[in-house]
Amino acid sequence: MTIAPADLLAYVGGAALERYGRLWRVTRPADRGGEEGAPAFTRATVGVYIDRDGVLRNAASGVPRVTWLDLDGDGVREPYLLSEPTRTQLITSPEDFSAWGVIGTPSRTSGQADPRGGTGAYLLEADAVDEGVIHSADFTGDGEKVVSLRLRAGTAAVSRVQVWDATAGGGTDRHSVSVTWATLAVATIAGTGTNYVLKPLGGGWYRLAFSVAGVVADNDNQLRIFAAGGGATGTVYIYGANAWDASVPSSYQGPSLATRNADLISLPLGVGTRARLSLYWRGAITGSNGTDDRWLVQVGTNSANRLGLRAGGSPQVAGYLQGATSTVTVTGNAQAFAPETVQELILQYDAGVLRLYDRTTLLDTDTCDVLTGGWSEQQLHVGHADGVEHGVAAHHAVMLASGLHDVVAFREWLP
Amino acid sequence: MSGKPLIAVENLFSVTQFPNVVVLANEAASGNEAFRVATGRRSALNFWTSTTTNQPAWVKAAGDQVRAADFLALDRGHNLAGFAIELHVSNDDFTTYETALAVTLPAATAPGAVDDALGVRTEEGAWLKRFALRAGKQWRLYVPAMGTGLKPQVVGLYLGCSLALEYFDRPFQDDQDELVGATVESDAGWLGRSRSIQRRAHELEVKLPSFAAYDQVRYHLQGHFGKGRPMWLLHDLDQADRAVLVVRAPGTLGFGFTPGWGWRRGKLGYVEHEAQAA
Repeated sequence: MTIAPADLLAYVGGAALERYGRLWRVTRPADRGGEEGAPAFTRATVGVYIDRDGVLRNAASGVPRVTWLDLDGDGVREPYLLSEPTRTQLITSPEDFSAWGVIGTPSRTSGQADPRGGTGAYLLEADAVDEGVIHSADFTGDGEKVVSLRLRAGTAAVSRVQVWDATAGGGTDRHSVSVTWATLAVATIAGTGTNYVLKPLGGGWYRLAFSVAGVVADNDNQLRIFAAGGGATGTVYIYGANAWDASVPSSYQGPSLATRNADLISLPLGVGTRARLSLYWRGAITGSNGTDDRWLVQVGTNSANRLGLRAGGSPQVAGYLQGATSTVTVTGNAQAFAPETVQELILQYDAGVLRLYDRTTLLDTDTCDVLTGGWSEQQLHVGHADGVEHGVAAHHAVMLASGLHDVVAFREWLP
Repeated sequence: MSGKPLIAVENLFSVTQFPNVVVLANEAASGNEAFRVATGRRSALNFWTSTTTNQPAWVKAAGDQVRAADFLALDRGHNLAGFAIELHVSNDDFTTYETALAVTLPAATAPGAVDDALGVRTEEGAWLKRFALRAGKQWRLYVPAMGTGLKPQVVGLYLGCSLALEYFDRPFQDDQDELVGATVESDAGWLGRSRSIQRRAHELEVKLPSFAAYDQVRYHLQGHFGKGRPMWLLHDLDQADRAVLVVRAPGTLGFGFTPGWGWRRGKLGYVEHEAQAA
């Protein structure tokens, strides 16, 4: 069984860029292959993305971000459409390390090549063990928080970054993380939290990010960077430190304390009631608004008629159809939908039956409402639903109609 | 010979193809405005040039949305052979940008592939280069200072997503032309001719390898080429020096189902666009 071009209702994300030269393609009454209907996209502030060469660059307000990531570890960067929620980062001097406090007497040399292609980085040098820089992070609300930092290897074999609670018990190590430069291994030294993948940038730079469990917001919480770990001395290059009231990191925010507004993407679809619909997703969670369930893609304009995919909470993945009389959720709990790891999911609506696949493995199936005249495919949302945004990086967010009894048919549309 | 063909018809600098694009240059001489880089005209009198010699110059296309490109061509008539150029792409109007391409154009024609590091110069002096896909809202051709008394001159600039086809069905001609000019035969059977040109023309058969392939072919070939827009045709990626700029020939164009092939196929009739006069 195969599918025809007319079955392709929407094709969104980095793969659309590779295939069609633009971030979205929506099939509507034909213009003989000409320009398609424009999506609604808003973001009121500048956003940062990773370019194909690994350099951090800015997208002006109102410009969607294509960020180039190697999430599957094959050494090749792929384009992803980045859609993130509003985030306020909490380090007041994310780039000016001369404004940070010190532990010991480290030297800080400005004017170093940075991951933006400029010279805004610092060389941090420890002549004695445990010398570094510190900056307070003014978190709001207790719980799990996340920090990120850009690092480049200097002479130190191991570098260390820590979130330190200077109040609790006279000083508590909430989470210390080491980076071993020879192997690019990230390891927890003390405390608890999640270590995210050491993400390569251009020019030998890496993004280090980790979450910190059990943060008490009213305490004096400090982000500490040590040039060298393991009781040694040495140097490391540093740039761009961020902290957020969230558990999952976001794209870089700098050069000052700032709020980045949400990316909101909605595509106009044709109206119609179809016997079959399928949503295909390939991408990753890159941030959240703090809730467990993160919507990846959703079709529908109101809560009474919608079809969507969500992931990253409990259950790990879920397909969702809210019809005229009932709501059906098909789930898969065995999937590891960790943030910043690429996943493929397929949700099939087939005339009253809902099926959820992880690639070609059927995870769950259930009967659901038959979509009727009350249903309309008015809007396709990527990374948000119910007015709440979720951080996602979409390589594919594809909606297909009709004839999709065989998920293998999707393969024809994949690069 | 790889045998794989490539077509490139999309042009992000064309306000005909993308009406919301704004084309600007750092400066433009009177009668040589920036928009002339993407009019499709091939006359040596139709070009953009700056006004100040020996200083960097640029021409940019500011789009209405993020678009990707992997193909750049400078049509014959440019004066950049042997000089450096850069292609910049940005999402904040060049406050920050990526240099997608930085090359010194070959000074002479030589056999070559469109993926060669320096691109390839065609037999008539155009320059073509395919590069790794980039995406951005603004694109800019940047020409560093060329030297005393010199400034860039660009007749045609083509930037967009190319489409690599699997193959043209054989047999096909990759170098067939027709003689265009007024011919008179005397009563003795002797031929008299006006000034003539050799114009390349042919009808290629394109077989698609899947149902999905039709979607892109429809966009590039029926959506753009079908409307009469100029298209770079490379019969063979590895012999890109023989590339030709073509437009749709009179007649029908379409991709349908025929006996003997499982997916769509169609005929692609073309004639060379404003062939060079001898």
